[in-house]
Amino acid sequence: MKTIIKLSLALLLIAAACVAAVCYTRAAHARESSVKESRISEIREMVRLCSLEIMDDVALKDSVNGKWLFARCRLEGRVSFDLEKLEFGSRGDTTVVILPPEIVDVRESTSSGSYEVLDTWDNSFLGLGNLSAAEENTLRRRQARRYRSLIYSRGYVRRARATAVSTLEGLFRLFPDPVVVTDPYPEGAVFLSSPFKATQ
Amino acid sequence: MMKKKLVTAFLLLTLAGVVTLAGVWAFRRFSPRQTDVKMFSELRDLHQIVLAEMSVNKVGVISDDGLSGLSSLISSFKLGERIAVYSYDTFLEAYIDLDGLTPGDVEIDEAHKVVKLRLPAVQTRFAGRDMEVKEEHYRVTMLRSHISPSERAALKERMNTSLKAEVENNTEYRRMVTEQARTKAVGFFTALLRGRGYDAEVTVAP
Repeated sequence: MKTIIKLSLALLLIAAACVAAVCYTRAAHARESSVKESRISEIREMVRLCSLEIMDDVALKDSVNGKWLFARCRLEGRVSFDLEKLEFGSRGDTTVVILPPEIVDVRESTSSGSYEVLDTWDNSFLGLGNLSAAEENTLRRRQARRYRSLIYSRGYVRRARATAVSTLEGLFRLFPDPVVVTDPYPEGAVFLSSPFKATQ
Repeated sequence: MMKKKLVTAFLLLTLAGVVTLAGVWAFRRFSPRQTDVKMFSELRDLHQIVLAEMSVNKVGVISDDGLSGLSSLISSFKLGERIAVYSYDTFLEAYIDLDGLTPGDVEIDEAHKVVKLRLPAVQTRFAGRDMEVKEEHYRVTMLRSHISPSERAALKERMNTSLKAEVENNTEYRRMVTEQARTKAVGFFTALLRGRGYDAEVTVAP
């Protein structure tokens, strides 16, 4: 009987020690990282009319050098126009304003959980390769380029340019003298396959 | 004798019950879970003029130096060192919402060619962060495991939470970018109206 009690106590202690070790190990991973204080890099002045914002959860499944990554990302797309590049013309007593080329920005959202790595694997012989930061950045750059193309192909740029025209017309209507806003590139001025790319 | 047997049986049952409960808890806590992944998609038309953008840099470190107690002891037995430093930029922008601009905010004096313009108040918001992280330093030696994409993602999440808390608790960030925006707004609209032959008195609501 004493033996049974001793055995039971020993089993209980071992179980408790295992659970404690697992909890501590998981917590230790969090303590391995530290974060430094933020620093202002730059403040840029600009005058950009922002006419469309897109927020999307997208899956990233891509590979580089035989190493694969599968992640969930929340991306923010923004279509804007540099108002300091507005061109003015005249048609009689009416001022004609020409909408400049669009600027399409793709960034990662700052909301919690915007980048979550779900799986990584290596297709090489032993499958032991680890995706480095540089390789991961290559995949993220590719993802940004694909998403930018998607913004054009889904007609978001067309919608943003139309919104920008109506916003500017509403703004200039408040000022003296008649103004007409025209858009020479309703489908988008920056054609990704065109040799005539506007610099962004 | 009977009493002794009853006490023993009671103790054994209690021990068995505690071990079972501990096992069930551990199984539920650490077994793989199915998580629902909600995919989010939103499109918004905006009528906003962004006037200034601040880049805020954040640095995060993965290393054994931050460990203490038992973790530090365990780490001292591991062969090799493991340290990596990463950084990225988050953007804070200042803008005015043209939906807040009404005909009453514009006064035109045609006789003297003067326009008085009252712009809506400057607002600030986060405008995303870099998708890529810059590897400032990387050193993993001997038998230590390389830094994985999951660890970098977890570090980025921690950095994001820390940065947002810093910006919320320190009004200086928003004040600096708002001041730049107000100056830019006044300058731009003054030049725009002057180009059309009008002197302008441009103010921005507080």
